[in-house]
Amino acid sequence: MKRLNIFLISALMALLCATTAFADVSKVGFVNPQRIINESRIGQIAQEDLARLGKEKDRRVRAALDSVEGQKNKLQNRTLSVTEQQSIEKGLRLAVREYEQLVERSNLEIQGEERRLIKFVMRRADSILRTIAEELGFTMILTDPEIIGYVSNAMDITDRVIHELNGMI
Amino acid sequence: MRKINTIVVLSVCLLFLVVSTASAAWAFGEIRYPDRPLNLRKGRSARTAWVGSLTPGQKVRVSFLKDGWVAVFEPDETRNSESAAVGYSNAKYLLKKQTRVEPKAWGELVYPWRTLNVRTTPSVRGKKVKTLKAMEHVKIDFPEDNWTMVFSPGATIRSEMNAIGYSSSKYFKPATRSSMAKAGLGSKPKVAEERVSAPIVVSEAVSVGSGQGQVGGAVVPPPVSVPVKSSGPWGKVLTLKKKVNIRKARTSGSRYVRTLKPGEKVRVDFLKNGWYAVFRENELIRKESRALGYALQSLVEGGKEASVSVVEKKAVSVAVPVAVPVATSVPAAPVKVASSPTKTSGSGRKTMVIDRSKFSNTKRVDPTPDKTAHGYQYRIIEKSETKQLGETWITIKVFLATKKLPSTNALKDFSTTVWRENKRINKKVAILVFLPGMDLEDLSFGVTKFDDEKMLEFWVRKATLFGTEFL
Repeated sequence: MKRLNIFLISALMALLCATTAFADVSKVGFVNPQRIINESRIGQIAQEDLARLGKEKDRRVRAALDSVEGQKNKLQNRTLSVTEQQSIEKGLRLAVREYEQLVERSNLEIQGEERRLIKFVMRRADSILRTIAEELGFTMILTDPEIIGYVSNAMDITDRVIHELNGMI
Repeated sequence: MRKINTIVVLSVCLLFLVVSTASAAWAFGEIRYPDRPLNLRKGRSARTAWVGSLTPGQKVRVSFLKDGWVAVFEPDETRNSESAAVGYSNAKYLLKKQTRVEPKAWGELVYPWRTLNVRTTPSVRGKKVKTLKAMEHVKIDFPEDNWTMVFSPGATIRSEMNAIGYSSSKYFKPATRSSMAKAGLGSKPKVAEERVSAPIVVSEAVSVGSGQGQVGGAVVPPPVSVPVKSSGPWGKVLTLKKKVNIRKARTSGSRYVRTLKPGEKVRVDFLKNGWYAVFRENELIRKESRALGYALQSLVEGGKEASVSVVEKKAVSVAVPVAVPVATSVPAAPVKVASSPTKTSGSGRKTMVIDRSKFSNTKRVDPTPDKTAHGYQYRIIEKSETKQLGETWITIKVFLATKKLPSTNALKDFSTTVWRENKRINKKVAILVFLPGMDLEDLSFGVTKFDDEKMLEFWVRKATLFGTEFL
């Protein structure tokens, strides 16, 4: 029992020492991903890509809307027989459903694409981040601005990452 | 009287001597023809930047041979200076005689609708090198964002070093017959020549009014197109090995005309961008407008099964009314469905896990292409079937081996061809195109989506070109 106590105390002491030693050499940096996306050239290109996808989706949505409008206009023709009217109404319902589905899917796809593009850019930034971290002796780099109360400018390496990223184009 | 005769004869001799000397001075270097598609470089090394390319059999003037490399000039270039060169090429591929002729049209003949500056760089900050007047016809190529390189209308060599400079592409309109007539270009041979999509017929065959050998026999201008009824055989007569669809234009997205059955004999000619104009076997007149339509070279020739009878090219080119390219309209409507540009923070906070293993520093080797379509070598890397938002999608990853960033239309056409070969009833197909240098496990450059009838959408991610030679 006595031996066990000695062992536990020794282990605790060792752990304390290690923590103190670690605290002495650790250096924490910070990178703002939002700024990388907004201010780096690659981030801006990604945003342009996303806008282009939006336009393309919008074109499809407008075409679907035109189809709905076309069916509506056909219905306004008063010379239609009952069978023709029923057929057009069916077509209209189908067109409306397709339009709604397209809008919903388009929005989901754009959101998905946004995430993919952010990941793409951040992966490129990540490789630079690691090099800078090693160069400046950071042991840890935080990337979430919302969990940080204060960060010294010296610790913020966002500008450096943006600069390096731009230099690669 | 004898004295006068002597003076006249002497004068003529002297004049001839002077003209010959002047011509010799004018015709510097020599005329050569590439025996294969040949890249033009910025300097005398394959490591220097690519600036353009020559097609097999294209006539060029070469000079300043050094280290096995020559400076390449326009065939009618008169400035005997390397500063007038349009690029450099390895001399061993430039032969004195044409062995293979595969002309390929390039650029687009356009005119500015207002006075327009041509600049040294694709930016308003670039130095002004020329001001184009309204209606002044020029050739444009190498588009880049909203800018394009401007060439003289008679330029024959597609090279960045042959360009006058850059202009904003939004001020150009495609040339029409009427615009050319207004600008007084309608009858000029050079313009007529470049508008004609037909291959330039080898000059040693028949040259109608070409003024052949005007300078020391060195310069042989391409024959001027004259409407003449063909007297000799032309094109190639092929027996089809498989079903071939004929289309209205040289794109797989164009209107279907008819299907030719296996065993049917057809005459083909006017090969351009991998498409033949297809004629009836007994067609006598070599005129593109008389073609039944267009078909892919690979389908017509049926790969190795090739042709049955090939008639040597010996024809008279005919002035062909060529459809002037139509400017594509860009939808400028506001984006309704698009969410605002990327946001990582705010009310809808997202947590993303970045897979570090996916972005290692190791450079992957590009796959080796094993197929050809639309002049592109490619390889299908992966084909999978997945469910996305309740729909079944066939996803095809394609590696496109190219040195030049494909244009939107080229990419659409290429994707359409891949789709046709892989489509299945009631299934949607997504063609993902990767270019050299890209990570094939990551996002693709081109995304083209099809249902089982048509193309649904097309877009490209320029950001994915990061780290490649295209960005």
